[in-house]
Amino acid sequence: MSSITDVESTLSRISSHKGVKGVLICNHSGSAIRSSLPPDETEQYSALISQLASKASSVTRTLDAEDDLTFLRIRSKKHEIMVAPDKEFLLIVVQDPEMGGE
Amino acid sequence: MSEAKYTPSDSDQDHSSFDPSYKTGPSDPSSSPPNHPDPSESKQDPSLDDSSSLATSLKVSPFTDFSLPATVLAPAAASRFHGSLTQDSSTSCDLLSTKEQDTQAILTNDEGSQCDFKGDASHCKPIKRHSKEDKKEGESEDYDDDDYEEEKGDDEKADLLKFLKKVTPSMLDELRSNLESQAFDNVEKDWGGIGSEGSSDHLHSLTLEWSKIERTAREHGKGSLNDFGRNEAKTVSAEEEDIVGLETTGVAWNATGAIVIATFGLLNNPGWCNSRGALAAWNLTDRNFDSRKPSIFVEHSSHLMCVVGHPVKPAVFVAGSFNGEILVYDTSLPSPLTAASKIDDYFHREPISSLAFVPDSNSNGSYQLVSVSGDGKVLFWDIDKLKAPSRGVMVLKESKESSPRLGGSALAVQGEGGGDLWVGSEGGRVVRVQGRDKAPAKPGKMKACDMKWSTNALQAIYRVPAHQRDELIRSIEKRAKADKRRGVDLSALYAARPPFTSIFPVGTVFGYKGHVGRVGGLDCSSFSKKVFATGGSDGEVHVYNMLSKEPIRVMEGRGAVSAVKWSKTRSSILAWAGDGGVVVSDVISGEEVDLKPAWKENVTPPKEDEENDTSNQPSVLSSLFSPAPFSSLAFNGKVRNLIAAGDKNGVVHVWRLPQELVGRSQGGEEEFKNTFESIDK
Repeated sequence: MSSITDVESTLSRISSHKGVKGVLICNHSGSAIRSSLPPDETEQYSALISQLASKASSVTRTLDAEDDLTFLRIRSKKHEIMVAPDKEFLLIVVQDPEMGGE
Repeated sequence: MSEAKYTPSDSDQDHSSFDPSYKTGPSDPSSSPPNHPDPSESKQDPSLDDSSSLATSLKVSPFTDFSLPATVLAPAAASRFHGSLTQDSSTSCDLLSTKEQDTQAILTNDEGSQCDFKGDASHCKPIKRHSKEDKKEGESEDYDDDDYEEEKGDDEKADLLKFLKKVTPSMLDELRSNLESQAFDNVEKDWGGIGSEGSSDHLHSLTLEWSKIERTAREHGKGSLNDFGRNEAKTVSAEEEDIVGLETTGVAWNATGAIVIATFGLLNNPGWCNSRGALAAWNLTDRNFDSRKPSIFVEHSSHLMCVVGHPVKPAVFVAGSFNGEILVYDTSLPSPLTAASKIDDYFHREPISSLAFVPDSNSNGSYQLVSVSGDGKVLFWDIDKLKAPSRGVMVLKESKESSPRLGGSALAVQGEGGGDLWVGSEGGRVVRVQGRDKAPAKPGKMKACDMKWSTNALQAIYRVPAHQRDELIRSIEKRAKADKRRGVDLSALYAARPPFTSIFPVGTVFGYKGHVGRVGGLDCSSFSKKVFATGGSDGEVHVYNMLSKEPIRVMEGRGAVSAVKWSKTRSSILAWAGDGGVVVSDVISGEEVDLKPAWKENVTPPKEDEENDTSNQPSVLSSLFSPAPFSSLAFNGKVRNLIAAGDKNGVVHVWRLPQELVGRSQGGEEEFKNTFESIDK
């Protein structure tokens, strides 16, 4: 029980951060587990970002077998997508740094 | 039920019916759909206790953004995005829309044919607060594999928490630093590819604020200037008026790419030029760089028409004047003008239209200067000995001695020793000129020589047709003796007034289609010895293979073209400047980019209340706020993404080109050669 509360409160802490537009957790197969985004966006983010993250991870490991991906940032005109990957899950946070900065 | 039914969009698969056996909580009997088994009979999920607790906790949770519980979605919908990476096609999670008052979870499986809701309308309440299903959904226990769920339920939650604990600190750090980071500020400017607006950055508008410069030039530079200056009888006020409103006639970069230098004069000057011209240099890397105050400013007694930077010596520039002088400047010296050629029939007497440096044929790292002028001569100079040109060739309409001279307006040189020269003429002709030196590097003494001849002079004699040599030597020596010279050097040779045709052989070997009107620009490719481009006042830009009379490519120049330059770093990039502005074009793909001056805030019009009469100096105000035709253009050879262009308002513009226009492209040089070097059509 407490663990679940912690999960939710942690997520809410992240999502209440300045400029954060969405927070989602997905697994490596691209299935969303938690999300604050609308369903269609969630679907896209989880599916696409998990693929990119696993690609990035494989690139990192190919370059150096002992290395591994720890964080992935994608800067776009509108957003910054930050991905914290782990063995089982990915935490994806979409931030609008411009908005947060204002 | 039906109104709450959620159908995954675009899924063409049947949706499995919801299996209430594990979806409904024990306290949720009222929500069981009529068509389904009583949810209360559902197998007890180990997570249920937790779910109940969760429901409670969610009520008081401050977590507001996260209003959507996770549900299981038909795999087909999700798999649109999964691609090959989807490992588990049987289930995927998604969120349900909260558009309706209560959010309903659906569960689908591969074999199922329906998608149903756990709850019905009567049960409509915010899920977070009341629905047991929600609790479960919130827990992400929505796997249709009961065994899996049983085993994984608690584990997954624990894992999730463990995961979050691990990644949250770094994520929060990143979020915080992102807001403060300026790493990506202004990065958008570089995003445009070729052809996109704003892809090129206008860096500087270099202007001369004449009033200020006049004063500083008078204070500091007068002495040095007058050494070579003429017409000093003019009054000071007249001089001041002269120099205002000049056009930029030439631009060049120095050997290190840090200094941009420009010459000022008027291209349409009738007859002899008594008005002063100027040369100004801006060091772009200087800490005290000021776009309105050049680091070096030198006046000259006549208009300057073109300038070229020495390929190796960073401080050395050579300018050509309207009256035909070649002027060597060393900007590191307090009085920059170090040498000037005389005006003579055997030198240049017409405006020097173009200058170029070319490596010496003896490969000792020295350079020759090549000049072309409106008098139809191409002359080769050693810039340390500007008393006389080391040699020259005549640019005629055809390769016959009797054909008329061509007034050269543009020049390009290729190969050591100036082996291949192309000259464009005032009348629009484009000819190839044989510039190779026929004289041996160490000529033996001629039988007819009585006096001592310098090597240069002997070489000059070797270039004379054999049957004319003896007679020429006699006349030169006679003149030298009359002048009481001890020996014969080049100046003695020219002083003897030898016939033009003997001393300057006909250089023209091949004529090209050319332009209708003045050839303003001519440049050879840095990537192919056979390819050169021309631009004319007829508004066309031609790309030629040297072996073919007809241009391989003709481009529309948008108005008269005054300068053409190939990129030094990317084979297919050709830039031209003219009445239509500055265009950077990819000759392979045909894409074109306009370089536009962007007026920056720091360029402010001069104050009206300044002591100077503003009516006499229209240049600053008008030049900064109205577009003007461009007259000159230069790629930076070292800082390869910079390009400078001078306009007819006397402003020098510097742009930074995007990487797409300057970086070497893979296979691009190959493609360039394939396209332009083969002429069989």
